[in-house]
Amino acid sequence: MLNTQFKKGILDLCIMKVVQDEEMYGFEIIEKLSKVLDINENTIYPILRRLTEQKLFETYAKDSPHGAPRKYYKITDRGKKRLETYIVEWDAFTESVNQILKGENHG
Amino acid sequence: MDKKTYLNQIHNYFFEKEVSNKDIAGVIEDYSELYDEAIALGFTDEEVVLKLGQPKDIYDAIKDTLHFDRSGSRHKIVAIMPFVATILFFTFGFVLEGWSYAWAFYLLIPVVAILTNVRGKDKIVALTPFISIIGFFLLGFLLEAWHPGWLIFFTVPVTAILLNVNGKERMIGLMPFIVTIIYILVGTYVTFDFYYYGWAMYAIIPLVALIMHYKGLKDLILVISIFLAVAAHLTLYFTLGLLEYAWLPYLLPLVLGVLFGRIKIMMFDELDQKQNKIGLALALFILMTYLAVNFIVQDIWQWSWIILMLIPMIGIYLGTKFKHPVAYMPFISVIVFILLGVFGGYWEFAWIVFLSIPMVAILTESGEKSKIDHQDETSDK
Repeated sequence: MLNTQFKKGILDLCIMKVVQDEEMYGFEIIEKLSKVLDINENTIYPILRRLTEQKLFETYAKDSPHGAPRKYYKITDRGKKRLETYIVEWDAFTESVNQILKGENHG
Repeated sequence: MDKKTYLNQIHNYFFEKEVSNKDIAGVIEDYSELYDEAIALGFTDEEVVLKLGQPKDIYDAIKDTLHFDRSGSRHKIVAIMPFVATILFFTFGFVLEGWSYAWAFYLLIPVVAILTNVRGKDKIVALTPFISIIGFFLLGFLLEAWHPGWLIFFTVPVTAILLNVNGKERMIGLMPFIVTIIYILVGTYVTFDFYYYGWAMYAIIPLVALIMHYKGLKDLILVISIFLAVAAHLTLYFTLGLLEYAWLPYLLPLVLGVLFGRIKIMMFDELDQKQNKIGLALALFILMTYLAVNFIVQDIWQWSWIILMLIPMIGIYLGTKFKHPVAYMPFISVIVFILLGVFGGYWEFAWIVFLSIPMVAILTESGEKSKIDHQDETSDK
């Protein structure tokens, strides 16, 4: 079972990636990720908020067909650099894990 | 639960946790949008709340991103109020010689604390005891209307009912207060004899409850029995002059009500049926003692109402025993204050007893709060 901190780190990575690919509003991100990953909807909003607080995301308002404007999330340059670092670390990590699982590098 | 209630709950929870107003506004704006989006996708209110989480869960999840206002203005305002109250007290006392009511400025301390720390409906309900006390003393000192001025204390339960109870239950809940107000006002200002026969109007309370929740033949029989009892009561009083037997006819609807299972004793919330019965019996005993004392001893309306303070104190004891001693303090302070003022004439010093309220709160409740905070911190780890 993966621990909570580890899951949060992976979620940060996923959220940053989907927002880099397409600027989205809060509920859209929640809907998109909760369909793919087995997570509660209410775990994504805190991460969005934290990433915005850390200046990795920025937000802007855009009109919606439902009336009130929606808050859209957009990745910042700082966020893009952080995402690149995360992806490199993730690739290295998964590669190491895969090597172990395939029985390679056992000394 | 609808969107407004849900957002209010989040707002109140974050406000209690002393989150900065800016952050609260941001969170509310976000959750308002998330709520609307979920509703637009066809989720029900209950499903949306389940999806988005309870205020505590939201707070726990984002508290590391929040800013707090722990040294904020609301604490400073509350902290400065004892000094403001003292200055006003002495100014009013020395300059206007209003020692007997200058103590009322000390009520500013809890009033300001409530205004700055309590949100929503609870704020109004929490303020009504203080508004009642101020109103009561204004009526007493300015108009000599100690009786029936004490009726102003009914604003406390009446406000709580108006703000928290809806529909038929609101009308049923308000009836005892409406009837009592009419009974006392007519007895005081129209004819004193009304005190002896006018209590027949208390029959309106069960009549309203039966009509609002009419279930069939048994209720019809009960309604008829109440009308018959009132008619018999008035006949005994006016035609036969048998005042001492006037209560007897009411045994009929009482027995029928018990037999039909339509008499339920609901007095103190959160108490079980046995405690409710004890509470009701004691409350009736206190009320009767109060009325008896006032009929026997003349001109004690000015202070005899302090007997009624025992009713809420019994409610507190039955509900929480001595878990929160501060809950008793407003009532004890008022009793001691009035006794010192009326019998000793120490109005200019008696106000000091009100300081016992925050003192007891600090001594007994701050430990509880630290325990809760400690539990919160432990559970976070």
